Amino acid sequence: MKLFINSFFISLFLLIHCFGIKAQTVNSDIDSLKNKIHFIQDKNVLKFPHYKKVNVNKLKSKTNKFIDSLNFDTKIGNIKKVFIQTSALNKLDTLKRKKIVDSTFILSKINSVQKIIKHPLRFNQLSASNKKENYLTIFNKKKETLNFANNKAKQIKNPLSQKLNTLKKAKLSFNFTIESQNRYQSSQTISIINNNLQQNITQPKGFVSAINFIGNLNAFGIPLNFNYSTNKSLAYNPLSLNNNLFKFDFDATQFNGLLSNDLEQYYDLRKQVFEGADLSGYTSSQLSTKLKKMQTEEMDKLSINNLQKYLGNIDNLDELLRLDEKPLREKLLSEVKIKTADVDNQIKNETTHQRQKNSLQNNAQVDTVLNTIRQIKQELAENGYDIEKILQMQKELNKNNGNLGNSETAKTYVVKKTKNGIQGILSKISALKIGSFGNKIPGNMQNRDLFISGTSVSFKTSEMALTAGYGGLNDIGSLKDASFQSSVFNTPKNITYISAEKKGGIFNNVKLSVVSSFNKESNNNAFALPTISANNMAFTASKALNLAYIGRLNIDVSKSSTLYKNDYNFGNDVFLNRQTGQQNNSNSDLFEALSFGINHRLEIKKINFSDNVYFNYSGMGYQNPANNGFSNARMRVGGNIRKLFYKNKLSITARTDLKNIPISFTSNDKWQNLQFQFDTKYTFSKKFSMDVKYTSNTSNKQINNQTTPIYGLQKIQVDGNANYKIGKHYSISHFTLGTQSYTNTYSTNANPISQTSLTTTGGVLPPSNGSNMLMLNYIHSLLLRTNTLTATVFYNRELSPTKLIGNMLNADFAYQYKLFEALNLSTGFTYLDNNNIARQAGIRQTVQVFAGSNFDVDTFLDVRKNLITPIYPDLYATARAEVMLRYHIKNKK
Amino acid sequence: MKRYLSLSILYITISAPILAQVSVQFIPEINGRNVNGLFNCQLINAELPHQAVLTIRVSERNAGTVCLIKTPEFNLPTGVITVPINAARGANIEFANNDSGRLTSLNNAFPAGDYEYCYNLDILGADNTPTDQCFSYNLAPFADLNLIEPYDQEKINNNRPLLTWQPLIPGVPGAYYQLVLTEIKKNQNATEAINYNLTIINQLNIVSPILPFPSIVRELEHSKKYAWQVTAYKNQTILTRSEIWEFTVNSPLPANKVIEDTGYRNIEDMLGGNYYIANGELRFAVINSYEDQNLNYSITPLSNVKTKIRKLPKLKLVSGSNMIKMDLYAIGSFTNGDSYLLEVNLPNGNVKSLRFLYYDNQ
Repeated sequence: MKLFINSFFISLFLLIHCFGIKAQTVNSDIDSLKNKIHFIQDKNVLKFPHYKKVNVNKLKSKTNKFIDSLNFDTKIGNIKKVFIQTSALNKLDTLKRKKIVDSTFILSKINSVQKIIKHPLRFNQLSASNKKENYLTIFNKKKETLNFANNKAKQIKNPLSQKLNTLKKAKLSFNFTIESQNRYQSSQTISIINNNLQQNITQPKGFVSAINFIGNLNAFGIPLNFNYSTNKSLAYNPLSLNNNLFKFDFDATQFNGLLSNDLEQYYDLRKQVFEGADLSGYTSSQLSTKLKKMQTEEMDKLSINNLQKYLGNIDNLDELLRLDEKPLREKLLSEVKIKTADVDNQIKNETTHQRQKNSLQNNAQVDTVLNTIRQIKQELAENGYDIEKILQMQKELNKNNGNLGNSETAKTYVVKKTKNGIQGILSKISALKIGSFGNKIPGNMQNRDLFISGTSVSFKTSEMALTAGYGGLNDIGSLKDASFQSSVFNTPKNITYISAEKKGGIFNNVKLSVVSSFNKESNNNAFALPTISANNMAFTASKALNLAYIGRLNIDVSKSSTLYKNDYNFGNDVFLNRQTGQQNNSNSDLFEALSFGINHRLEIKKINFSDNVYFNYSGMGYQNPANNGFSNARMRVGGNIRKLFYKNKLSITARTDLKNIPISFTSNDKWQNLQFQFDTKYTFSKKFSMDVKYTSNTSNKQINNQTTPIYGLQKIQVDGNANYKIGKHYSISHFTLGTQSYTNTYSTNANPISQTSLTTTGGVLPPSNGSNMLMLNYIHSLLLRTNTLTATVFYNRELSPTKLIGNMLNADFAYQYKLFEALNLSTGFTYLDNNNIARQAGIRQTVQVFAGSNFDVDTFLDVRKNLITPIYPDLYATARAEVMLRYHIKNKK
Repeated sequence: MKRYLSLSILYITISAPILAQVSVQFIPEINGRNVNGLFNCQLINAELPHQAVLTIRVSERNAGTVCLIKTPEFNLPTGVITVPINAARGANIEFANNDSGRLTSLNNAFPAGDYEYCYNLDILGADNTPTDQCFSYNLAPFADLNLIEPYDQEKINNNRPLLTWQPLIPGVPGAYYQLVLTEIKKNQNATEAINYNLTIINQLNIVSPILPFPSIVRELEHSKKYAWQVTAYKNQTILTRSEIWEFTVNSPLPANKVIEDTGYRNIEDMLGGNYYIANGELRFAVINSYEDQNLNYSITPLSNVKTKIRKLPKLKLVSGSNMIKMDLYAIGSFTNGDSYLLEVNLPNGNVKSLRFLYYDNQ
């Protein structure tokens, strides 16, 4: 059997690679064929005597199968390795052991096959001179097989082009997620007051749903983000398509990342294609491998060594790579000849045949070198690389020890290049947003986003940065506000803005912004809200100072003004009862409508320190349309500091905000608010860490220079996290212990809910003396390989007679487990007891399904039974179900 | 709507004895806070439709008249109406030539004071004396509605945080809080998230400035960002809003941890140091320039080189770059602190081996 396999294999190779099909029918012609083959190619071909025994058809089918397997593996690019990896390994080894064949030989056979295929005429002539018909039959059969082999071989890309392919950027790539979120909650508190919308959104009651389409698209090197949501925008007609929120923005950061300069391209080539070397180095190593292979084919070792030496010098290669084909051949031939001249002299007694042989071998070497260089150049050129530029850059880098240097040419290598006109325009755009989006409007003094429906665009040139935009603003805009009709927090308005920032020169980083708004009426939930015609404007000048070691400083000065329609003559209605002491002082106008802000940021990585401090003052009459809300009169000061100690084991963060809100034009009366948080974290070891946090918030009222405390909150909280092993299993404990004291001496509607029913008092009660609570939160989790057992307890105890949330125990116990790889489940029990306000027990189940990388489903169900009738049913729902379907669409690069 | 109707009927009943034909309803504690809110009143006409002109005069006890608004003529039908939009648009407004008037004209909002809002509805073409109704209110502008905890941009280690904010100052009878909390998705900022996404919590009727994370709501997930905002409202009108703050959950629970998909090093780079610590999992990147195929690899414990780890997962290589993550802890055949040898037959025919120390991921 073994013998048969051996013979099969040997014959097989004969069949593919040379004229080795010698079946019973053609026995008589073997000898003549032998001669012809000899003439064409290799003397080694007919080393094998076994071919006679094998049937042609059987061979052919086996050959196909073999070529298939061979083909698969040749993709790796190295025939030698291929055979090691295929099932042919043992068989080849046997052959090798018998010294019948070696793998290099097999490789050379494929080459000869291809040569034959390329010269069918030659072959035809051969066969014609002999018994034509017989040969033709054989020839056709062979040709068929060989064609097959050739086609397979053609499909195999060479390793260089494969590697270059990995550098290609996809012309079109996208990554979208479509989410369908559906939720049901009993006693749902979203009471939608618009009947039209109610029909659309809340059928059945307590059910809400939204489809969110979010993702990014990168077409022809232009990256765009977008987001679409069916979360209704209530400002529009419920039947209009505009109801759904949509935004689309140009991702400038990603775009800049996509554009690459010559240097980046060169480094990518080196890293991914040239195996870390430069172009010359890579070519040199490729050539040396090729030549080494030839050496094993019993070529003249001496001459190859010489050529290798020449090609091993990278400077020579720089030159060779620049040459065209003809001069290149001449150059190589001359090199080979020079180097082999000495050898020729030494062997003076060489026969003519040997000289011819040497010359042939030299030609073969030159051919190999030429082909390799040609192939590398061709592949690079086809993939859009300029060889001359690569070589120049390589030279520049070598000259400066890996740096580009300061030459003018070097500077061009780091300029980002755009591929087409659109990219050229877009490279000047630093932001583009269309649709409904959140944006910080230039000239805004609060550092907060506004939600606008419109367009915003920012351009930049080397001297100037420009931002412009317009849009509509409405405080009531999406499903979350479905319960509201009007807002006195903000007026609906149309807003336009433009800002210009100068770069360089005396006015470096000076930014001027103008924001203007015009009130518009809104139509919220089919409720028309009239507004007065008014035009509000703010002019802001900002200067950013980069103070290197002392951080970054921003200074803003802003002036606002408001215009009304007041061309009406009130005649006798003019104010008669103007009081004394209320005389107009128009000079103060300038300062009253002025705002001034300063912001300092500093980060010193060396000592792990960072800070961000701000001060902001706005006069009584200051009203900036880019800010949220009415009356922006404030004095705000605050900031945060963060410092790490002991190799980052200890971190301390302190944050504070102080606000003074003047409320009167005639006196110094104001609200004062101080908020402070101090947070310190210490990591004792990988197994144990602690966190102590102190939060305080105090509000005072200052009237006639007398300060009265209104509200105060003090909270101290200690957190601990510990990991340890229980038996074989890991276990995690997390606890939080906190105490919160709260005082309220003013009539706010922060009312202790336990005192009386809301319905009779409308939510407001006389001031309380305050409350004190002790909070405990404990989570314990036990890891059972891939499954987890978790217990959570939250307990709140009121320590004073006035109760804020009441004594509350909230506990759950859950087991999380995996089924069939794709299913992630969790089953739990819940218990809630809130001091006679509510008592519930129930079960909770989640199921997550991951069906491949494209689709997942996330479901959640929590059902509870009321053990007592809850006082506030909408705070203590008894059922909540969520189904989220997520579909990810992503194209392969 | 029902509530509205019943309110209107209530107003009519109350006002009927005082003014028989036409009356105005205005709630100063809600709408008396800024110039714009003055139009948010109800005009009740029990008579035939008429043309009318509305004049609104706002005066303060110390400052005197602050502003005067006069609308153009508008049609007053029978029933309950709001001021027509065109009447409001075309209205003229005059501010008093004193500090109060001037500053109000600049920032739109009325400062603290003892106010009287007088509505004068002049019916044209009728003999009726103009309806003059005044509402008084001791106004104090709202302080900012500050959120307290979790602080803006804070990383919290609780999946069910206690949410605290500062109460509405000064309090308004019948006002409640609404708390909205939502997840921030990729490429969204907090403001967009709160408008675009389905809310996780949208709780109305809150009376205390504190909300324990509702028991019925699913816990928040590790490493996700959330945005929250509190709104104070009365009836259907928003009085004031807090800023939108965001926080990130850094959960202590291991089961919910979505391990960040970063930190892959090219397998060829990892060989240099030849020292790698696998904390529960092994991560490496492989570039496959060829067709999709399975990764051919094996792991041998160095304590017993004759054996090989069985039940290794099948790893598929796609064409291009591949991030390989192997959860060694889940495979379960690894001993804490032992050394192992990974051998990978790379698609280009090279065989790479990597020695690593295994530790459970804790």
